[in-house]
Amino acid sequence: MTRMRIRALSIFALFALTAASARADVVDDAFARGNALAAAGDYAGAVRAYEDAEALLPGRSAALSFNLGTAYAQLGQLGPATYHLRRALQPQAEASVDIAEAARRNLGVVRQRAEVAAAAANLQIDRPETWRDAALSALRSPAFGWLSVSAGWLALLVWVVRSRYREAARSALAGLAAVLAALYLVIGGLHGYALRTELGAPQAIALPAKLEVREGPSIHRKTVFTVQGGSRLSLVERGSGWGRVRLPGGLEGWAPLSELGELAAPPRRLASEPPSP
Amino acid sequence: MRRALPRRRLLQLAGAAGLGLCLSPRTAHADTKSRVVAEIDRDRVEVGEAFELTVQVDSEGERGSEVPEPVLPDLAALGLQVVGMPATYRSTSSSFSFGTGRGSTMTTRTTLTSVYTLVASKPGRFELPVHIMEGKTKVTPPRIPAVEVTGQAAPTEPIPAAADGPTEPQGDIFLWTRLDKPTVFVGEQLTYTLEIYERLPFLQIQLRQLPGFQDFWSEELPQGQMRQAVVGNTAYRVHPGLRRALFPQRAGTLTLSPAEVGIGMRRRITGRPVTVEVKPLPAGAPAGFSPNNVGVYSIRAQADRTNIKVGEPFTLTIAIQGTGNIRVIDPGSWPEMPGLRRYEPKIETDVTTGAQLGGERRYAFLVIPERGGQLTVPPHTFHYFDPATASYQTATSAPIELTVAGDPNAAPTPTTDAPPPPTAAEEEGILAPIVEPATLPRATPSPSWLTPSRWGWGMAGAPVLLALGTAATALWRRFGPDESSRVAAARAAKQRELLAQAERGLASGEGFYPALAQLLQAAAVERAGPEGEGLPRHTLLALLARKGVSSADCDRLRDLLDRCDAARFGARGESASEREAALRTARELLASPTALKPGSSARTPS
Repeated sequence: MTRMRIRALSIFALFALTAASARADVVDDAFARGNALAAAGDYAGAVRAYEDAEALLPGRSAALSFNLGTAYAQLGQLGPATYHLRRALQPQAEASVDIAEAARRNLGVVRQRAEVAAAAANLQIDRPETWRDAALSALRSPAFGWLSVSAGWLALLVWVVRSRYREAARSALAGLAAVLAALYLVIGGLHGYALRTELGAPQAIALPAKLEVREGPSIHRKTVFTVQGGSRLSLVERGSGWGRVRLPGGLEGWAPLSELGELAAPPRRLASEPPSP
Repeated sequence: MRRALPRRRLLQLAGAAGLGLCLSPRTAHADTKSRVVAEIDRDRVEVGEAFELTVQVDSEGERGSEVPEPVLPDLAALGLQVVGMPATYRSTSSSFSFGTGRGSTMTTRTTLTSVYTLVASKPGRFELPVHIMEGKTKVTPPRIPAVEVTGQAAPTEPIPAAADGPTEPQGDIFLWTRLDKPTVFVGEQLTYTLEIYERLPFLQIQLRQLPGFQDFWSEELPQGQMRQAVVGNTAYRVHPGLRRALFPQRAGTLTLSPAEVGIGMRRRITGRPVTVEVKPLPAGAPAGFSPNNVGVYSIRAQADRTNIKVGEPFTLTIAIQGTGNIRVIDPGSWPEMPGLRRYEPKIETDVTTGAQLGGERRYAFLVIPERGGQLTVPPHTFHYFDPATASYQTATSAPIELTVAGDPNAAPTPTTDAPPPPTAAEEEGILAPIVEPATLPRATPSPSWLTPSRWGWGMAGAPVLLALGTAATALWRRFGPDESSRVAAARAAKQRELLAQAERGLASGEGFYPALAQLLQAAAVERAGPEGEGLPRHTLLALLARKGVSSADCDRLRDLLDRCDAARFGARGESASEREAALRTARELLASPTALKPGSSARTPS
């Protein structure tokens, strides 16, 4: 009986390992195929290959997102290029220093091209990121969450146990508790505000070259303004297939969700339909 | 809104129709089922005055059958004009008839009444032969209405435009057209003014038909104010009707058809067509001149900044301002700008409407330097025709010097009108190249345990716990035991602990007497009160005696304490039964109200 169990477990492990390695091989093959096509100048083919790899990749890859964004930038598609380059810089992608530096550089180039295109076609574009955006992005990290929670509980602990000590130590512990409480309030408040801005209005990228934003969630409603592709928008409300978006400057309107790339959502296949299994 | 036909009028018409049927059987054919009656409300009107023609058609037949529409004569040939849409009314009634030996028959009678408002434009007597067609049969009314129009027809012959007002009075109300110039060049502004002269106060004066501005570019100008004027010896009030800036688009004698004004619902007045002579532009136009550029203009060029970098866009604005038809102005071809890439301009026009139409037209270019060094935005030359001097003029903008940081030998990219898609050669060295690791580096992000909701609970937990603890402490202080109760409770607990220790040493004797001695000593000190602290034994016993402890109990206590001392420090050993008896005695002392029981009332010794 025991021998049969060992055999069954061995066969199961063999199948599991084979499937995982096979999937990894397919992802690597698609990535290598994309690299070869990009080296040959076929960026459209490279985009398709990279998106094949991304569809099969179970996790995240900063290199894949970077190559995908760069290939889109080579094709002049500024919206998808911005979307993938920003994904490459997300903390979940765990970009290396080199890839992060290259992604920031390409993002700057794409941004410059988008500003020129927006000025030439008289389109709306988001304002460049400010120190406030960078600060909010940093404050959203879990480290600040842990710091604020720990400071709060530590302050409570110090306040409770201070009565067990003598007067001199008691005043010192009270001061420490006050400092911890201040950390709890300030860092917790900032972290909560950053979380609220992200959860209340997740960031999205305008994917088409010109995104028409309408006064209501319908194709028949009047276009209130047109946004340059690659612009960063806040998705403040969702309807059926439509989302109410807001430019950082405050302009608001409705745009199809299919033309928005949400940075916090799973990746979108933009170049073509996925290959049939 | 068409005035409703008075009921009395309808009854009269119905009566007339019935009378006509009775008295004129020859007019209405015997085999026809439809009849028509026509009538006008006034037999005599003036030119421009409105009257109403009412046509009533009666039709008998099955329910739902159509009623023939009335056919009007050629009104234009009669000098009559229908104003607005006719008002129509329809009514239906049914009747039953019974005959001998036959069944009943139902007859439906439908009446269609149409009211037309007509305006006469020439004098004379005009008949209005209205009829209806029933199949191929023409049905005419029993009486043909006729109207007599008096007065004079409005003149239709055009006259040269005048710059001044009228010199002779023309009735109680008339229209007057003024043009500021009798002769202009093609493209030169001509100011058209329509005024309404009234001698009596008329109500509801409305412009019913605009004058014809064919062959002119027309721009609205602000209207003037109402004023008083004396024509001949007659005082008139002059209403501003219309004011336009006209720009003739071709040479020759051009005619402006008259406007028509309605006064209430019953009167129309028409102006007189006027002509203007339009001269062609003289020969000798410079190369690049556009016939749209007639007026007086100046030009200027401006860059939003002059110290820039290669690839950094800036805005170049070329503005043409002056008087003339500024909306259609043609700036000509833009000069080449070496080292600079220029996109299609964004055009804005500010029009000013005063005595002369004019304003500013701005062309905002997005320009990108393609190489470094000192670059120049060349001057732009603009040709126009000045009608005041009848000569061609040239306006030129000043050149703009740019200081561009970057490689002065960079290869320029071909200029296009739209932002070009990036090519591989263009992007080489701008975009960072793709990365090609041997294997794809990947990350499996694990979701952080500290989700926003957990963080929220964690943040709320500490202050909530602090608040609960504070509240519990306050409640304990408010409703919990006081200090003496807590001391008594602590003392009782200590006694229980020492008794338990003594019981544990009952069999072996180990630790029995120390615990018992400590227990009795503490009980004695407590019984004696604060003054019993630190007293030697005999003094303490004396104090207890003064505090009301009986002498027997004092003796028993002394005996017990001595036994404890002997057992602890002496060589005397006691059996378990003796220890049990000692413990029993100690319990009795501790429980006795007259001995060591805490809270026993003190008695004064006798």
